[in-house]
Amino acid sequence: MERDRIPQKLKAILAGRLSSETLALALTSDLTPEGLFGCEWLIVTDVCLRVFNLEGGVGAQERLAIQFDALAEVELIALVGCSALELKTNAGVLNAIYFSDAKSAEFHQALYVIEKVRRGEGLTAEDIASPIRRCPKCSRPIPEHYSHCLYCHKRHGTLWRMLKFSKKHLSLLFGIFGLIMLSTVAGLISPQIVKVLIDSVFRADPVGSSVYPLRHWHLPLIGLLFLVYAIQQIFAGLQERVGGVVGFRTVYDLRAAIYSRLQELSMSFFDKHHTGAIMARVNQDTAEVQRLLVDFVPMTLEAICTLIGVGILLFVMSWQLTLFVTIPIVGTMLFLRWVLPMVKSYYRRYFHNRSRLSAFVNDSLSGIRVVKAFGQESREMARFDLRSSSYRDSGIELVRRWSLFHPVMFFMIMCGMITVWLVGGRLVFRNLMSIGAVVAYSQYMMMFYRPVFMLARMSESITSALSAADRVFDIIDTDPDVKEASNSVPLTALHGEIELKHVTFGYDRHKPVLRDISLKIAPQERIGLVGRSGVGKTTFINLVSRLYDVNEGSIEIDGIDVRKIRPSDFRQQIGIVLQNPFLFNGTIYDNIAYAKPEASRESIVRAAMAANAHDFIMSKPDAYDTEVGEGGGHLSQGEKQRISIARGILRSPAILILDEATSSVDLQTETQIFEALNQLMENRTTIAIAHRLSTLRHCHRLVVIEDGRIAEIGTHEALMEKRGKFYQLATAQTDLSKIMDV
Amino acid sequence: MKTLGPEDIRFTRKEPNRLSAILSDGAVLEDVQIASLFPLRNPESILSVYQGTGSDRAEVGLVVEFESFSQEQQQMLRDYLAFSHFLPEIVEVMRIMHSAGVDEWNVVTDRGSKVFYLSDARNNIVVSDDGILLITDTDKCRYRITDYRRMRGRSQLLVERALP
Repeated sequence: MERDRIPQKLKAILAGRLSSETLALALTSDLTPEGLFGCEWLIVTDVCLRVFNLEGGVGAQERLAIQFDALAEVELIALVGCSALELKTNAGVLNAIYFSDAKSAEFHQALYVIEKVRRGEGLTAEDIASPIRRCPKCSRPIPEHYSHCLYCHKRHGTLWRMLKFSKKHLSLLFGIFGLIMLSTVAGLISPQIVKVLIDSVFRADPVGSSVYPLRHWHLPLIGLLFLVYAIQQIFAGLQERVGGVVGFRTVYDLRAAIYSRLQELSMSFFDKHHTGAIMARVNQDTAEVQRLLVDFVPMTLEAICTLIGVGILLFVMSWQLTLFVTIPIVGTMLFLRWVLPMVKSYYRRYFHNRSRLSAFVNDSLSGIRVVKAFGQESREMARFDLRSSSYRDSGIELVRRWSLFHPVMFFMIMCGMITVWLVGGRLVFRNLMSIGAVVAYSQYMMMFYRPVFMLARMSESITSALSAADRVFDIIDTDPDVKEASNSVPLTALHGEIELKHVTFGYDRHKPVLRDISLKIAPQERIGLVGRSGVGKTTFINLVSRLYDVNEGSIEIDGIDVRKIRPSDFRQQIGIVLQNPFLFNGTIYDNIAYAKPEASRESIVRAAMAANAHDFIMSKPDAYDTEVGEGGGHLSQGEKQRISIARGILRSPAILILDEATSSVDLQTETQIFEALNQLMENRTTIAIAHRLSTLRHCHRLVVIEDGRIAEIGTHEALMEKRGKFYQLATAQTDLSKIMDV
Repeated sequence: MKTLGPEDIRFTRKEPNRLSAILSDGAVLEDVQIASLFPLRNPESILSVYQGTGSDRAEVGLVVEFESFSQEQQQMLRDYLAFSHFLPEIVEVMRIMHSAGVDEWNVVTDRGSKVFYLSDARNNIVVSDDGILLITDTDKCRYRITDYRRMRGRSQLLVERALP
């Protein structure tokens, strides 16, 4: 995997050792045997496994060499944050090499390669290709769930990509740019009018000092000034309005794109990402992008236009004065560059403490029943006080710092203004500049500082918003693992025959949960899956319902590989009833009809009756119009379960999956649910998981899974007679229920 | 709950990072493993002694008074815990470079110097009430800072700037 990165001093040693051996694998670890960060090399040939240590600058030292003849077993031992490659030899057991989780994928593949080499099998290119993608530019690894190198990824690419979402509003975008230019130009005119007023209109005749020869221009110029201010504000207002419309529309498209992609993504994506993190991307990150497009981008454009326009004017008006004022301007910018990151860290601490306090209050009040039940009110108060005082202290610290920096910052700005009056005044005395020009210059200076300050403050907000956009695009760029094949077969009716052929699968490809599973289920057969927690029962049904694709082998439905069936057709034929049924916010009717939105009210009521749900629904004041609340919070577990079953009945699927459908309810409710389930299972291929083995009595066959493999298959009676694994599980449960009987 | 004191169990080290144990009745347990019940806050307070992995894991007992064991035994257990529970403690932050949504952290840990990359700080930096920071990098490796508020000036400032 890393043979092209073997260092020279190791190559020199290997050249001698490998004259009679063939190099199969070269891989580095990132830890030393002492558990420190470091590097060791695992070198595997066709006959031997070696470990080399390159630390200490004395050249490569062979720390371990084991011939395959002496090797009984090779295994990866998972620890916490690290793993070890363990070798069982004739002499004993030892840890060959030690590595952190960063190297886990590579060493799992290495184990696979070692086993193949020990068996004398040839290696394919895929076997020795590194599972780690590397950036072609900087060679840093690209993390598993990303499509690009995080380090080399160019930020302006993100901005352009975002702007592409605005492509259909191109004319409006040009309009916004035009309005920004016009507003800026209008803003630059007013100091010139002031200059004319001071230098010409308010200038008395030097001979007769009470006479103002250009007095008649006073009102027109004031009128012009008013007009210019008005036009500037009108353009600014229009720009804000149009900019807002474009910004909101663009983010609407972006939000639709991300939500649409989320609907297409496979379960593996949702397994790898917290739901909260995904929700943050849809809600908060798009809101940040919205702020970027609606506020920051236009403000930045306006600031840049102003800076360029004002800068040119300052230079044209007086290049001498401009050279002098550059000093305080540069000083101000350097001060801002130094102080703003510091102030931001105080802001971060403040916001961090605020969110911690908010999270605590939310958590504590949500669990108020527990607080009171355990009489922990004063303890909660103490915990609240701890966080609240941190929040208070960080706020005080922020205000203290800001009250120090703020005046200093404005003082530096004022230094610039003082420079204008000092140097400008001297230029007036030397007739190199008029008074009006100095006044206009000072106005331009204020116009110059405003965007400088704004850009300095906004830089981190813009960076943060672009990071948010990156996270949004990460989702849009993610390809679903479970995809529709280009030559997918439509399937309108299913008989319900399921066949698993040598299926191997792991959520992490290198750690299989199910291994070499082969099983054929006849149409309308009822199969019960049995085994301890974590053996792979839920994984089994996840594969059958194609929430994941197998790593090896295949699953066929009615003789067709499930990967070749059109996913939408397949989904129509599968019904799932879960242990913890999820109900959407809405009415009972909405939730049942979710399975088949086009179904008539009558058929929905019939489905509810068949699910033994009709009676409890009618006991509610609003009957089928009853709001279930968020996640069905207004209903009991049994009620939610029966609505879930009604959903399944309405859908009328050919294949039914029951995942612990009765484990969360009491015995009385269970009876009602059982009756409903029996109704649902009529003439359907059913795969059921239940920990209470008695609930699987109705199954035609039971499949016992252990260590990811099928340990036993048979009827309930046959397995009990066999006195194998199923018998042990069944008797253990019977003994437990006897103990629990009071 | 079966508690184990020095009179009940004696640990031996056959090879680096492999422990065996001899019980008071003379039974020899090959390849025992040790796990701390409170690995983040009090790693040596209570230790679980067990054999096997996954569904075959069987706990032999709990060491509840670590200090009652001899210094040699304590060091053996400490060494094993350091080996089996890899969670580097960041003692100094040299530099954090922000770039394109990923931060490059250049740190000194109790296991040596390290450069790692962190993205999505919101989800990958967890701060507890008592100031413990757990950081997960882009390779899913974790690092810990026991109390960032007690770090040396510049390190603390850098960490605070990086907090979500």
